Amino acid sequence: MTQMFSAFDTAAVVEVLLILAVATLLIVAVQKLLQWLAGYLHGQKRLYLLAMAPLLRLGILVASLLMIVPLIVEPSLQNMVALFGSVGLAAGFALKDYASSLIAGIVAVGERSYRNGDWIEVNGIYGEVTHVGMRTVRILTPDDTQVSIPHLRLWNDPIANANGGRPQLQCVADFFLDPAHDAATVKAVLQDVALTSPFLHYLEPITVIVHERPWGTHYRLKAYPIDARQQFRFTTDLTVRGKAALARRGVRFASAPAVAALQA
Amino acid sequence: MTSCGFGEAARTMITEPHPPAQKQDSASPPSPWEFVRLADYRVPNPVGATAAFEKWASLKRIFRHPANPEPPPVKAEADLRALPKSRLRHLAGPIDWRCAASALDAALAGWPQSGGSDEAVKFVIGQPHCGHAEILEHWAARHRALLVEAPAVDRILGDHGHWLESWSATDRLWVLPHLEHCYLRHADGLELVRRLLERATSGALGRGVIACDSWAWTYLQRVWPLPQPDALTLQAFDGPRLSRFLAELVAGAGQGRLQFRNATTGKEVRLELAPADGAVSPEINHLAIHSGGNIGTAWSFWRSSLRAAPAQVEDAQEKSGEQAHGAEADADVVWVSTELREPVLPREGGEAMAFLLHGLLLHNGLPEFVLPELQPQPGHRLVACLLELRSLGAVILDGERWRVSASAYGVVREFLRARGFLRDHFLRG
Repeated sequence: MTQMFSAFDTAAVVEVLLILAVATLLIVAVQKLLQWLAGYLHGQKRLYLLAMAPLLRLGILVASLLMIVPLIVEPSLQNMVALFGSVGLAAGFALKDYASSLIAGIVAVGERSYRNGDWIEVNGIYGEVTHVGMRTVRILTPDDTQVSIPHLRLWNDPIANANGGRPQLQCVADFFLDPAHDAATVKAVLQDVALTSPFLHYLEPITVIVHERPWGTHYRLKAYPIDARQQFRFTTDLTVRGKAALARRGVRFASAPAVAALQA
Repeated sequence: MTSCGFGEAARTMITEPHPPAQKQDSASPPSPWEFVRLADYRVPNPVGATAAFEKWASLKRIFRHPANPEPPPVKAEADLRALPKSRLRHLAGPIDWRCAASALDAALAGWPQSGGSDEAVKFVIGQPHCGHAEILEHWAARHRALLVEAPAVDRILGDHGHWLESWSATDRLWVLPHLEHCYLRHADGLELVRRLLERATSGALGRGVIACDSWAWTYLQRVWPLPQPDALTLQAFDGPRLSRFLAELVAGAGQGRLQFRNATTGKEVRLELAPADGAVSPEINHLAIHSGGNIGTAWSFWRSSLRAAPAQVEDAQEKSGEQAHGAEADADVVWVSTELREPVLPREGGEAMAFLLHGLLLHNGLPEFVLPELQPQPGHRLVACLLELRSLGAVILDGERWRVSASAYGVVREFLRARGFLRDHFLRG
């Protein structure tokens, strides 16, 4: 039987530590550099750059692992099977969730279920992906709260991705109106409200969906802002200017009890 | 006064208040002014090293900080001074748009006189600082056409029936030089322009010419999709055209024994009235490419690049009192700086600045009082932003309207392009 471990002397320890230090430094440097560069760019270029961070990190980790393993273990098939089998068994029992998250993290990077700059919703938590880590994905909610979600959610929970790697995402402004009005005029007014928003991305369509309800008429104005990060300001702009434009035309809004009935 | 490249007869012609159209003299070089269909517009293309230089300059702009906008000048240029205003006025005076009006006449080729069934309205689209309104005003004077002023802001936002009705009462040929001032990007600011375009294109307003800024034109395509394949625009000023234009500008000033020299290399910058393809100075080619064929920005850069040696400045200042026109100034070497001085917009300028600049371009300038109606920021912040942009040289107050300055136009366009804003189709990207 061949010896499993190499002669692990001081030089080998130093070499391993050196590889780990360089890999860590490289990962930190790459992430900082990409973040810095992304700060100068906008739109699709910014998202591409941000999405590269986890891929590069994975590449650096794999490369450093490939360099470290032969320093510790005699690189034969028998030894490798024994080593990875033991590690796998230990991880499976003791660190099941941790290992699951790590693997899900690799799958997330490969499948691109979410990338930096995407707007996702997991278990009712909505926000922008700011960091795809080894174990967790970090999102920043509109309330400026950082939330870390383990990648293992990927296995069972639905993940809603609002923009899927694109800079644009659809926003919806709701208008609840008293039923006594000219719907065609209101529809045209709302179209113009979107068309005149400084936030509007003009290459995407503007749509107005009208639903007649027992309490009145529900309008949904759908349009896309230039950048996904503007979504709440865009929706606010549509709502504020939409209300003003409708009020100038004497359109009355549905009363509070009626809308409460809708919510119920 | 400059000639229009229509020979000596035309040179005399353009000094008359309403000169008749002239045929081009076959012996004279072609005019740099030409109107073409939008599809035939050709942006001067950088090739090889020039393209790489443009990319590098663009990359540097992204990372440059506004507090340190320009690299230090090369030693040869450090000793040079800006030209005295009087001399600058004679070497690079205001653009004479009457030449362009002659070119428009040639492009329309008898259309005003024909009462047939062809298009009732012709559209002329112009980039910012390319003088579309001035050209149309000259053209209107030449054809004794009715010059229609854009409505006031309150008319656009509300009572627009009267403005349209009063106009439609006439049968005269009419010219609307500022379509971009007939709408506002406001929920109530589009109805008038829709009705106007509907009536104009249907022929209900008679025969006329509408000029529109290129950014407004792009926006209005979303407001009232208007297929106008025959819309005309001023052809881009590539190297040869620009060389000829500048040569005419200098010749028109009556300067004798004048030489332009590159301030870095000392080589002569030749301005040719009839340059062969390969004979255009590299400085002029670079200027044409950098300005994207936009004659207004090219002219602005050219003016700001002219320098004189200190001795020449003093000499010229002494002479300026004696010679009102300075035509015989004996300082016959004018140095041309190789640095194109452009404002640097703050990277952290952000959304408010981008919205403001975009709004100004979409309307080819806006009065300050209407800005709060069109922008999501409150008035005091808009004023602060305007003042900051003015201090950077990015905007100017032209009459009552704030406009993006000619020297900043390229930078602002790139600033908005990088952020994904709607823009005109006249430049790459």
